[in-house]
Amino acid sequence: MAAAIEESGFPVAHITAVPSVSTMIGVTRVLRGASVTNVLGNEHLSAEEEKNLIHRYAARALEILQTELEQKQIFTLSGGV
Amino acid sequence: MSGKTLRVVHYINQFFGQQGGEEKAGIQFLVKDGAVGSAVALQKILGEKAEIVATLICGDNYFAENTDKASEEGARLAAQYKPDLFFAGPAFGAGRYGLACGALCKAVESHLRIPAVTAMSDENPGVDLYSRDAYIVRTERTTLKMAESLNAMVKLAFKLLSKDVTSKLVSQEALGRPSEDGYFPRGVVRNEFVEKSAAERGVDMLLARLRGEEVQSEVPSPDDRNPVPAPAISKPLHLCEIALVSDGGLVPKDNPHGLRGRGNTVWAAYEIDKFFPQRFSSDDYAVAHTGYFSLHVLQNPNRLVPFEAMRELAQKGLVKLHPFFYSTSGNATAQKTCREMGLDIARSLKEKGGVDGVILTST
Repeated sequence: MAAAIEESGFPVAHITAVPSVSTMIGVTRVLRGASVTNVLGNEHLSAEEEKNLIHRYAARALEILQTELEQKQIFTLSGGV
Repeated sequence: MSGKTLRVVHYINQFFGQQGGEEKAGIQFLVKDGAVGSAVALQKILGEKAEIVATLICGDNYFAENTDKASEEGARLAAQYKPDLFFAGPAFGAGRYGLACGALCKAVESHLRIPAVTAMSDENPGVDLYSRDAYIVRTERTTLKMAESLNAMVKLAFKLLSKDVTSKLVSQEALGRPSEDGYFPRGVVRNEFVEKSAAERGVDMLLARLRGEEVQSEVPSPDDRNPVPAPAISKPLHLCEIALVSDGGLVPKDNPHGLRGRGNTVWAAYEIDKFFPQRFSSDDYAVAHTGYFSLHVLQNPNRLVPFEAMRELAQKGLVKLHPFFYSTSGNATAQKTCREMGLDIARSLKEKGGVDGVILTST
């Protein structure tokens, strides 16, 4: 789905805990998420800490949308690949 | 190998290993002596010819989130039992399970140099990722054909074993075409002698096509899965409008658009202000997706879709948030349907106008 939306012209930041499937399908901007059942957060953290983590993912996704790419890339929260 | 009972290790996931369902998908490796859970079915088919000396069990989420590490670990655990054959699954349509089976068979084949066979349906992501590196028997999506699938896996494994396995080249030379043994092509190119010349075959194909018949290409067309990335957002971020999309199945409690938990083909757009007000209650939501343990998301939907985070960034004037959230459920949905839904959602975003980028969150 992400690949089809991107094909239509929109840059897409796909956040998923299983990035290999995404890149295999042809999504180019993939951000590795935390876990399958809680992709942006962490239920072991306090509410405040988890809120910060979710914010970091949102901010990273926005950064990735502004990143020019030559080919597909898997990004992580902390930066780089 | 004549006479002695062959040693087999079988890998199955947490569900088939009787540890639990999605809520146990995070468990790490367990090793049980002998055949346990659905490995018993495999043992029945193997009969006297082989003995399952160990059953390896692991959670689908643990494997999917730590694929490389888990593959190595699984291969090491299997090696301890000195197996002659390795089986994984069958995974049928289960994506994370298929990933695990494919990855593990690749690692076992590479490290242990024994036949490692798994099985799954053609849409399983494990096929695209591992069909070149592992023997994957083709199954249907439903788990109803367990015995049939296991039989096909065993047949292929014994065929692989019966050839001279000291030379990989020799054992592959001795195998027939993938379609004869029911597994996905591994990309092995082999010379074959045929009666007709290429020129004659070419003309035959053309005539068949002109007659409207099905023509089988001799050379498979390459898959273009390396698209050029869409241009990045170039405007200053505070002028950009971002849309939130998810295929995790988050919907209002009564699921008014009828998203299905499996094989879903429907998407819906919900006005964020109404769908996710400042003060939300878990009771107001449902997750129409049976492919993952949804408790954490129901407790706090922000864990799947960053509503609050994006709203705060928008309130600070750092970015603009598209007023609609696009929701669908992507559990065992055919690739073709996923693509259609994606194109449909993109069309809707274009009609609404002003959207510069999309954040799509999945499990």
